[in-house]
Amino acid sequence: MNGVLTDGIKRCKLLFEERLKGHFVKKVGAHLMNIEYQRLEMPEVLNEYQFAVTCIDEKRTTKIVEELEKFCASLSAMLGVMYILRELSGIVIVLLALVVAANALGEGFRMRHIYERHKTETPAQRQLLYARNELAKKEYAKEIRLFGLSDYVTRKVEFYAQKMCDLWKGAAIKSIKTVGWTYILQGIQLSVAYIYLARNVINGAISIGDFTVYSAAVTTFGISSTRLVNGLVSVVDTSKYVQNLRNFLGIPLPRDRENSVPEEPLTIRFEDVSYRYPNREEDAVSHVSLTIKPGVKYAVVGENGAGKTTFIKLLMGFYTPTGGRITVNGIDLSTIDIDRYRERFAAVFQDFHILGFGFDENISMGGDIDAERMRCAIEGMELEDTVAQLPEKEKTCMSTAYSPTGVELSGGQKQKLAIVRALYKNAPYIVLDEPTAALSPQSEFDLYQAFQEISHDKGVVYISHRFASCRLCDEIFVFSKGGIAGHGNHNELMAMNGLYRQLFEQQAELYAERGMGSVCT
Amino acid sequence: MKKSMVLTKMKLILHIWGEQFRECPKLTLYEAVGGIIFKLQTVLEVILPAMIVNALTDTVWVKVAVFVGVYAVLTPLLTGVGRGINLIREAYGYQAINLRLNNINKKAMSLDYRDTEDVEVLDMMEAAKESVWEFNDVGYVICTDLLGNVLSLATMSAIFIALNPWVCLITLAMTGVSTYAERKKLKITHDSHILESKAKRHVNYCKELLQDQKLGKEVRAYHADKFLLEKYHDAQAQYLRQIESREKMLRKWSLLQRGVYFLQIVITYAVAIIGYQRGDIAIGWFLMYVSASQELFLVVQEMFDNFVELSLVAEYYKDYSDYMNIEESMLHAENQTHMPRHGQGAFEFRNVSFTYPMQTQPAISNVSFTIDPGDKVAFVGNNGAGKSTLVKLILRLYDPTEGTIYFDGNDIKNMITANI
Repeated sequence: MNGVLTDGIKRCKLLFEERLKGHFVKKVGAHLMNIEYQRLEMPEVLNEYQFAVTCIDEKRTTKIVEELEKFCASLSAMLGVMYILRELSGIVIVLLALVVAANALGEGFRMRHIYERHKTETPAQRQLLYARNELAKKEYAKEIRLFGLSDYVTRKVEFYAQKMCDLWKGAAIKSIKTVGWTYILQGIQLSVAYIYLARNVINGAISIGDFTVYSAAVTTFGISSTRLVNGLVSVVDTSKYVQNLRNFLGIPLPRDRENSVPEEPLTIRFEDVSYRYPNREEDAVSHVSLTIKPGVKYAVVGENGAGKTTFIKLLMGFYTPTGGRITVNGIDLSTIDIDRYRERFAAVFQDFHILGFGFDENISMGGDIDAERMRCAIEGMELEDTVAQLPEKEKTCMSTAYSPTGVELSGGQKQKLAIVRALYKNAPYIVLDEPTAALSPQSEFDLYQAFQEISHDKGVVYISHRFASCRLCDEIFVFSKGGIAGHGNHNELMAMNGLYRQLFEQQAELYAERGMGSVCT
Repeated sequence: MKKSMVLTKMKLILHIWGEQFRECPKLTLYEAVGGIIFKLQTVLEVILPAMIVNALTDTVWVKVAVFVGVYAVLTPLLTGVGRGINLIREAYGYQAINLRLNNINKKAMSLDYRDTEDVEVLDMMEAAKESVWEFNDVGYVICTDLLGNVLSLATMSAIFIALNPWVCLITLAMTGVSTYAERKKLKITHDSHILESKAKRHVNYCKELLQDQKLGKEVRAYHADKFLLEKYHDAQAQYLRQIESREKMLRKWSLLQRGVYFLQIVITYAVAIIGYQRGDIAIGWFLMYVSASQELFLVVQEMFDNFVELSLVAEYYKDYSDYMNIEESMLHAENQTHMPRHGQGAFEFRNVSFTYPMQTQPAISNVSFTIDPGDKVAFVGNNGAGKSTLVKLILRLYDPTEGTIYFDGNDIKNMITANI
């Protein structure tokens, strides 16, 4: 019976553990996706997040349930045993209490050693896992072969592995030394209890049968008390790890904002906006004032680090300005419902991600698929041939890791897919952060042409390093060192003879035949 | 046929164990000692209480004291020592595993480049890594488990032959039935493993997406949080369904096993009580008898499990050795010569064509050109024209499928790759 019950319980436990783990994965994941974007760039937040993830991965959450189960089992065993032993003299009871105390001490020490080992081994383990797992990935395969790095990496791996083994051995030896004596103590105490019982049998005070029962009870008491103490100590220990999880989940979600998004068309105004990253000395964006009008095509140019990407993030509400304010149709953006606001934007960032799911899912990002709209968007970026050649057409998975029939697209195709994603969203504003970096000049030209057609009624903000796109735009913002060095259309900026002209000519020169003068008209 | 298969498997297992012993002798030592200590404890727990009770009935005080002392002191001591040895064994076991994983790593870095993009090879590497954790237990199974079980089996059998050989036979028969059920359960688990790994891979992929903070901008920009949560939820539901169906199939065999165990206990107690009533056995032996029979049942079952584990070890080892034996045709060509230190030679492509392993169309077709020393060359063209492929061929990450590439008049296939 016991066996059958145990089997049944084990089965339930297995499923319960998986469900519990899934629950926490979802909870932590949802929290990560909903806290303010700015927090994701803070190291403290990321640290707490890493701890939370480790906690779930190491099943600390399910461990607490396990330990509680053991605790209850041991407690009931101990209570039962104490009932059996109630008629014996106080000496036995006292001895047994001492046994429990000795156990508790020993276990406490053992747990502390393990926790300390864990703290020191986590960085070492991370180093080992990085050297061994990351560097074996195919992304590094070319460099490792071309630079003959195999021996170097192997030596690193062996070094970290040795470090880990030494750590484990050291902790084991330390544990034996400190805990060993508790076992000897236990032995002495138990033998006194047994001898006492034996004497009583010989004296005739208790029968053999009673002796058998009592000695079994004493043994059980010893085992149960050990388990009880282990369980308690383990729960305390585990809760240290779980505290990290709670810390992360305690990070506040953004507060609801009073105002809803104004009616379209939206005019977005930057009023003397500055933004400084935490722990930096200088503003990334400094005293910027400009207006984004609906339906207008804007280009944002400037050298690396001039503040272009920061500007985009401010525009989309990922950051709150540290100085000045952004208004939407006159209302302060920081009081507007940010989720609804972002629905008005479709963005392709420099570091976009193609997920392993289906081609069509990468475009729709969840929700029902509007087949007609998707077809338009795909044709807009001239990907219909690519789709037709996929083994499962638009249902093909985009990662070979996720599905055996998955396909890895080329860099250029992925970029086009990301743009299709933005087009499908059909938002009034499209933001493109260097959309043509991986495309050939022909593809780039085709893209701009396609864009002209599709985006005729939408507002577009391009960041690009290729000045060809600027000539197609209605207005250009030139960023330099966080501020605006100039704005206007291409001809106006060239006439101003400032930074824009300088950058444009530098780039154009590379295409010009040698001996010809300036390329601009 | 079956006999020779068993023999080759045994040889393989001994070979695996031999390798481990050579690489980490201390591990084997701790495994053996740990196993003996653990089973010694079990044996003592069967024999000594019986002897204590017998001594009590004979009211020989000294005997009682001695037995009690030995039992009460030795048991916790053995527990403590056993635990300590276990900890050290873990450390050495970890070392042994690291050694194998490092071997896999080295292999991954020295494979032909084309194999690093082959999905099958990547899967083989993952299987090899997983298998290391499994077959590394070979020493533990042989030294700790099997050795201890043999010791226990010998002792229990001796006890039974002295007391009542019939119960011994009945117990062994019951164990046979239980073992058969165990085999069935193993097959079910093994068969469902493939589907479960696929489901688990999906779960892990979705979990990694949920845990990737780099997706932060896109998730917020496209309100993809619900999408990702749903994907994870669906993947997990599928995985749980797989587990549940597997457990359902296992249930009936587990019930059979429990039933057989119950029957065995009933028979043992019945025979023991009858024997005691008739005065054939003393009360102490009664106790020993009952616990010995239970231990015998468990030991034989454990020994079966040990043999199954060993046979699995052989299979897992195959995953490992298959990966380690992948041919590296590019690193070890015959007639490999050194290249001149500061290459003064010209690079020449002569009628070179190349098709990627999984493709039907060639990436480059019948290309010929020469690059003289000191030249600065640019390759331009549209996406997919073959530029990166040319570069990979020059760096000898791939060998051409047709034609030859020469450096300084020598076919680069004959150059030691490191020098390229």
